[in-house]
Parts: sequence; structure tokens; C-alpha cells
Amino acid sequence: MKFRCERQALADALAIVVRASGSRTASSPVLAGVRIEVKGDSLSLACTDTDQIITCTIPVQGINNGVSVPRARLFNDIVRSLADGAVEVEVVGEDVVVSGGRSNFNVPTYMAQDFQVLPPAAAPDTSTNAEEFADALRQVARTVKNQDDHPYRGVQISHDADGVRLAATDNFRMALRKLPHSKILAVGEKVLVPGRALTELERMLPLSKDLVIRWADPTITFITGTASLTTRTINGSLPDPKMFLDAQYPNTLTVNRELILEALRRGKIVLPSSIGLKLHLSESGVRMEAADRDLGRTEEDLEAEYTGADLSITFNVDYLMAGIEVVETESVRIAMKDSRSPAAVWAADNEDYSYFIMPIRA
Amino acid sequence: MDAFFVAVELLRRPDLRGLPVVVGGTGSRGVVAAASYEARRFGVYSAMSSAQARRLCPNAVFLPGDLHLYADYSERVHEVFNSFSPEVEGVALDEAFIDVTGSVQLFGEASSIGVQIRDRVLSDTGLVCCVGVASNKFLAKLASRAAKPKIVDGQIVDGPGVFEVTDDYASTFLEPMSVRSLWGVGAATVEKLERFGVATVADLKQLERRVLTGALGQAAGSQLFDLARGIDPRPVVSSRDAKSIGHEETFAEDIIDLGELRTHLVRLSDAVAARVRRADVAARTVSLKIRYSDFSNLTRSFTPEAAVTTGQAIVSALDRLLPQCEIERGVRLAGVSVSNFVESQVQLTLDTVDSEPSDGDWMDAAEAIDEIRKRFGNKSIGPLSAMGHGRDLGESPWGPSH
Repeated sequence: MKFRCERQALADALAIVVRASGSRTASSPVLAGVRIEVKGDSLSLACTDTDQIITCTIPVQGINNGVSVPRARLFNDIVRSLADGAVEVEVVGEDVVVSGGRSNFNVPTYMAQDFQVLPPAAAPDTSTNAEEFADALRQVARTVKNQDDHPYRGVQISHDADGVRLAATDNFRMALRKLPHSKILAVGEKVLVPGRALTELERMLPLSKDLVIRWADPTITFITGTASLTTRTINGSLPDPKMFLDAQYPNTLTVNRELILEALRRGKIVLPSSIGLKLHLSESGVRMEAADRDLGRTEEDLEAEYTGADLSITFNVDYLMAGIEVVETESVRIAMKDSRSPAAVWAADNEDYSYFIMPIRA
Repeated sequence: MDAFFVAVELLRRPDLRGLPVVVGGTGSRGVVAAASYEARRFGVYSAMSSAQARRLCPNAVFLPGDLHLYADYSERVHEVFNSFSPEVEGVALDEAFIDVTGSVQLFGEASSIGVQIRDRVLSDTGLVCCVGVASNKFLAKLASRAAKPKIVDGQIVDGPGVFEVTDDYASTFLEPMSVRSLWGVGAATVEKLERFGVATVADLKQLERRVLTGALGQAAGSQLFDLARGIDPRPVVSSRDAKSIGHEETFAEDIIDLGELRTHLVRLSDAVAARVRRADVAARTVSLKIRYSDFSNLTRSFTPEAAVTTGQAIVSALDRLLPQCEIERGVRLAGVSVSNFVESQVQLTLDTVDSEPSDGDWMDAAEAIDEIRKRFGNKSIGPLSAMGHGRDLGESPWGPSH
């Protein structure tokens, strides 16, 4: 195997795939490698940890066809460190030799036949706007339960009478995002995709205008530009968001997004260990209160508009901020029923994105 | 801290800087408590007999030591720690574990907090400390060792001061180490491990869990298996959590009836719970103290599943302990106390949407009782089971005598 290409092109392709590589201590050490294959004038790269695989293909000047699996992070570090210009990669004996400028490195390799490739999902292409999907992921993916083996560790993509929707929950809050024009999946279908893989996908997007999705359990494949990500899906589904969507929220706080975020950040200073931040709401004024046994307390009057009954409600400040930060309009609506029922966070003028948060009983 | 006692001595004796200094017993049976790095170059270590230290390093300056002074400095160092996190577990005068999980928002990531702590200790006390940063106590301890200066070929080589062992790096860091570096591995364990050809952590990782538990016993073997993989579940136990809230009462006449004793406990619990709620905390542990007529004491604790904030919850914990009281011996004093405080906040979950409040949930009632007492006085309302037995509700209501 031998090829020549621009250092930057190779570095960019490696940056896309390398984060999917497994750890060196895993039972199968080859997973810490990046599989590189030259076929004619095309180079494909792949990293996998058995649950997901990311691949990327770039044009190169191919000299000899072949496959090699150098250690991924090492190979990535070397290519990034080389001077700009042409770089040549060649298999010599059991090593890969990387040369660029005046430098050349010998990198040991793994046995290529040990590298197990998770095949892409065998299903027809469906496609959706990549930028919109990336936006939706940014709003939803952070609410995924961040715990291996937890049934809620994924983002659910579903298509029902109301259209396509992304959903995520960690049992304390639930984030929803509608994709009004998207036609992915068939009506009535839903699939739960690991949050970890989607965080990688979000990082890759958008490499092209359209994002192609192929889904055939137990895997789903996302293709953007010349890069693709295939991951195992999660067996199961999230709780039905109907319980939030159908609920009544008679009390509404409308406030400038930056203004409330700044206030919450100030409140958070005294809340590193105890997380509850209190909002005292009445039509005559809105007050934020945060207090900790050891770190003192803070109170602040917010410039905000409130309609509804007098209400004191406590939230985990991190959860509240996370929901507000990804709202795309200048002002944000927080709608509530009482101090024990879920509250909703919406943009000022639409409900494409909604975030439901359970309060803290204090 | 590096050679803590010596470092403190050098602050008041800067003329000794750069010399071999030994703090410890200077008499014939004395033992070295601390040695400067200059003395360590000669092979002097703490816990060595002072006589041997003198033979190895005859030019060393021997100081008798001043524990009061060291304790003063220790307190100042701990003040720095406490300013970065309330979760500080003191291990020795010069050593502590600090859980900075909750401090990251305020002070930056853990390794940066390590650098800040080191800078602050130096500027506030003039002492140099070394910080190990890792995701658990075991790795942090080893990391702090890697942060220290070393003696290499008789020369002092500065350490990095702050050393971080990330979870990704942990196995690379651990594997070349001798198994002696692991917690709980002494001479006897080393000997047993040598029979398996185990010298390093990397060797140790080749052994299956059941092999280790077979050779070393269930607990020790399992712990060693985990440690070799950088796993240590022990939490940082902060000393601030040792505080407690309690009431006790000496009775005019010894009590020999369990029902009567329980009545008093209900009243005491009610008062303790009110103070817990006023402090806006919840307590994990409930303790019962009994003093018998012969002045011997019985103290027992129970940790219910959920932290307590109500008298009802305290009493139901006490009911678990009460059978251990030998009432026939006569009880002259009873005390109820709670400790291990946590925030009295409960994050509601999706599962609680539309569900009914759980049975035995007295939180709402307790809040209402607090309100009523605030307006109408302590004797306006109280648990029925605390009344009777000849005690006048009006005279000794809810705050028992101290």
C-alpha cells in the first residue's frame, strides 16, 4: 500500500474518524487502530469501537493498492505535526512509513484482518436537510442520559402524524425538536440512536447539504459528504412525550434569553453542591433566589413579564440553563402549572423546540 | 505536603535551607518523623531510628519537632483547601483528599484547581505542596506521589508539583508500577503474589478476579483486582458532615416502661426534626442514646433509606433501635440525634408526573405544622402519641430541656 496526498486533506479526514477509535486497553487492541485502504486513487479511512464506526473517503494519488491498520491516535498526531505540503504513506514490512517535508516516521501496525468492520445498514436512502438536523441535535442531544446501558442513553427519531421529531430524556427533563419539512422514516416508525454516536455526528455535520440516513435494525447509517457513521441502535423507546405536550401550563414567564442566563450563572456561583435555584413569580415581580449552607446566598430581581398565579418553584440550575441556552430566539417562554409539575421552555414564537423540566421539591 | 515538618521548621530557620535536616526523637530510642530531601539523599527516611539516621548522615541538623506549630500550619493549609471545596477529607496533618466535582464551574477544571491550590498554599503559608489529580482517591494518591521531587542517583530532581492521571492515562500510569504501590499490599501479600509471578500491576492484571479472591480472600482480592484497573469507589468523606442535631433529657424518675420511653422519644424526635427543617437540611443517620440507672450507656444508629426531615421518619428509625434497649434496667436519660446532613431537596422525575403522593409522606404535614407553630406557638399542635403519661403539655411542650 502506498499513496501520496496533501497533509491537510489527510489530517482533516483523520480528524473525522479518529474519535470513534476504541481504547488501547480494550480486549481487542486492533480497535485502537485506524484502517486505511488505498483503491486506485481513493483512500478510505475507518475507526470503530465495535458499537459504532466512522468512515471517510478522500481522493489521493494512489501508487499501490492495499490495507494497513496503524495506531489511530499516533498516526493522527504524526500527520497533524508534519509541515504543510505533500505527505507520502507507504507500508514497509510490518510498519507504515509516513514522510512529509524532511520528517519521516515508522509506525507499527496491527493485523488488518483482525479489524472488524460494522457493515452499513442495508436499507434504501432517506435524506433530510443536514444543517437543520445538526441544529436539532444541538438542541436535543445534551439531554440524553449519559450512562452506558441506560435505556435512555439515546436520541429517539420518530415520524408520526405531526411529522418527524427528535426526543431525548434523562428522566429529569425531556427535550423535543420537530423537523417540519423532513421526510425521514415512514409514518409510525421510531428508532433510538445512541447519544454518543449522535454527538460525533453533530461534530461532523454538515459536510454536505443533505444528510442521508439508512436504517435497518440493528444498525443505522448516516452519510454526509464522503463521511459516514454507522452505529448499533438501542432496543427500546423513550416515554411518550404526550404527557408533557397535552398538559396545561397556565402560568407564563417571558424573559430575555441572555438576561436570564446571566442571572442564572450568577445564582450558580453559590450552588456548586446544592443545585436548587428558586424562582418567586408574581405579576408584580420576578425574583431569583439561590442559597447554599456553606457558600452563602444571592437574590436578584429579574426584568421579566409574568402572567399567572403567584408561584415559588425550584429547579436544578444546570437543567434550566441547558434548556434555555439552545433556544434560538431573543426571548424565551417558561410555562408552569405548579411547584410539583413539569415546566416547559419554548422559544418566543414557536414550539418547534420544547424542553420539559421536572422541578425540585424543596 | 513535601517533608511537612521539615518545611515548617525551615520557615523559622531559613538558614537551614539546603542542608540535610531531620525532625524526630533525638534520644537514644528516637525515631525520624520527617527528613529533608537533602537528608533523603543519604538514605534517611521517616520511621527510621534516629541512631541509624545519624550514622547515614552525620552532618544532618537534628531538630526535636514542635507539634503545636505544625498543627497551626496544618489548619492554615486546610483553610486553603476549604476555600476551593467543602468536600475535604483530612487524612493527616499534611494530607487531604479534596472532591472538587462541585467546584469546577467556579474554579475551572480539576488540574487547574490543583495548580491554584498549590499557588495559594505557597502564598498563604510559604509551604510547597504537591497535588495529584484523578477521578478517585487511589489514583489521586499515586498521582500526588508522582508530583513530588525524587532522589535519582543521589541527586534531588524536582517533580512537576501537580500531576494529573486522567482515566485514559490510568492504565499506562499504573501498569509499570510495582504491586507494592497499591493500597493494602504489604509484605505478606507481595509474597503471595510473587508465587503467581506477579511483580508489576501489568502482571497483576493478567490474573482473573477469582484467582485473586482465592489467594487473598474475597474482599482483599476483589479490591486488588479493581485497584489494578484504577477503580476505587470510596467517596471523599468530608469532615463538615460530622455535625449533628440532637436533644437529650434526664428523667426525674427512671423509666421502666417501653411505652413511656417511646412517648418521650416521639417528643424529642419532633423537636429534633423541627430544628432539622429550620436548618433546611435532611439527615441520613438517626442515633438513639440511652443511659441506664447504673450510668452505663447504650448508643445505636440507624440509616434509613431516605434522609429524614420529619419526626415521624425519625421515630420509625428509632423503632428499629428500640428493641436493643433493656428497659428493665431503668432508663435515667434518653437522647435522639441525627447526623450526616444532605440538602433537603428532591429532584422530581418523569415517573412522578400524574402520580399520587407516596404513603407515609409527612413532608407536607410537617411544613404545615411549622407554619401553625410559627403563628400560634409551640404548644398549639403536636403528635398525639407524645401526650399523656402525666406530663403537662403546657409546661414541657416541644423544646425539651437540655
